[in-house]
Amino acid sequence: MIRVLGCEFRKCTRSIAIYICMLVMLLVPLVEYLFLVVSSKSSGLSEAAQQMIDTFLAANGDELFVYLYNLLFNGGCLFVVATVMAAIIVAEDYSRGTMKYVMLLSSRTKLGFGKVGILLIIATLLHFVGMIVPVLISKGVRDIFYGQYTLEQLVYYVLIGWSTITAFTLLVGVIGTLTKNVPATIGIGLGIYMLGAGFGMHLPETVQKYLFIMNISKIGSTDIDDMFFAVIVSCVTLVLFSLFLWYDLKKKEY
Amino acid sequence: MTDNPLLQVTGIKKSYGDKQVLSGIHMTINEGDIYGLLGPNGVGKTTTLKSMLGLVSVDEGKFIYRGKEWKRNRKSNRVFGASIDEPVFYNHLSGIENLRVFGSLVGTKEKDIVQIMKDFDLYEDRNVSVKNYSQGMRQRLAISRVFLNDPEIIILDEPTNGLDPNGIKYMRTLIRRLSEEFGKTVILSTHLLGEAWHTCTRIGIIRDGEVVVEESIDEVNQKVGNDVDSFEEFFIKYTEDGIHD
Repeated sequence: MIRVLGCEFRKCTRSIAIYICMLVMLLVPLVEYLFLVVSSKSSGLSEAAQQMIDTFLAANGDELFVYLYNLLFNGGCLFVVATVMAAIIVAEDYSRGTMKYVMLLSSRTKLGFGKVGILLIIATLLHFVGMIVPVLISKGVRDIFYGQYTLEQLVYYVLIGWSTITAFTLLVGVIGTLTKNVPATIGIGLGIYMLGAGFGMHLPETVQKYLFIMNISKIGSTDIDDMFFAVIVSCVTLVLFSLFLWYDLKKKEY
Repeated sequence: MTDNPLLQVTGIKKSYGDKQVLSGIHMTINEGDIYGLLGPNGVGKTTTLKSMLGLVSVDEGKFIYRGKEWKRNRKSNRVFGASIDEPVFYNHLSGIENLRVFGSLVGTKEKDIVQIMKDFDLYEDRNVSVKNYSQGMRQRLAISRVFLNDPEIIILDEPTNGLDPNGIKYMRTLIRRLSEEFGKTVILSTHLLGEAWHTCTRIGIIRDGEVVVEESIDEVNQKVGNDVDSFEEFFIKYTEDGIHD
């Protein structure tokens, strides 16, 4: 399993896509922050807009981390990048034709573990790279970046974010094994994100709380029980998708 | 070549939906053979090879490896090595990087990768991106990849496809080297009769998902001149509808 993981990691580190995705994860929060700064200094803003900017930069600057972190999810950036990476990691081997050689040189069980493992690693990496700029800026703007939030709440936000994006990445991996095609995987993956996040909010709350993709709306919440449930839902979904992907790779014919 | 059955294929059947692709394949491959699996396009050669490799499941039949029923397990990658269909690689990587990526799956050491590249005349171009490799170089790199796990049986599917005459000649010599110099048993699928005639020690002709004749090249030689005038006629006799009945 370690060898398959090593092989997958080697492939990833030699693909320019991973570096572009990491760069995007760094740049998006930075650009958003710069936009806020520039906007705050420009004249002619409506009172509401000025107030919003002040909220983040001056009056309650301690919200900046949560605002920028939330943006990675609710702005869709992390989902788009995770979809692209998962499609490349899983579907590209099929569409390129190299999967059969990976299958020949490794056992199916190990191949399944390797693919699941590398998706977990990449999703985690993307998530934490995305956090770098919000943390640095928040610390730079205000020395204590979580201010009005408790540390427990912040830990929950990060747990919700991490478990949701890894579960989503594994879901895209499953789509990759089913379609065996990169563009189709990206298209379907993004479609699921948009449908889930867009139409999910119109569903009854009793249904919403079981939809892992809706958990991102809990980032910024203050209800600990609610957030705990969200983490459990995302983690269970993550395990289910991991098992499904592993089983599919184990049983699939080339 | 010895007459020890290394691999026996017994009654392999495979269907895709309603279409039966293999309808009871029987083959015997001896240790040291260069076994040519011949047949027109679309008769089930590649499916037969993929079933041996465990890339597709079979509906019926079994494989006997060294006298015991063989099933794909964690030691399988020490038995078979293969180049199936077009030789495909990670085109953005160099030749040696490709071998490192695939070699990492079986723990091939760097010095062994270097030696393999030297053995197949690719060492000087090891750092060239694979997308700039010629078809002949890609075929050699495909065979190099097969050697990463040092398998007993090497399966090559249409290895001379897309090669120019010099490339074909080089490949024939290379295939013979695999058996004579490296002691490998080679199973070669082709629809090019000249390739089989010049390279193989034993042939099997496949028609409608069955092996209709399996003989050593010496036996075929005896028939050519007696029963039929040429190897082409021998092949046609067993592959054209109705003629062999």
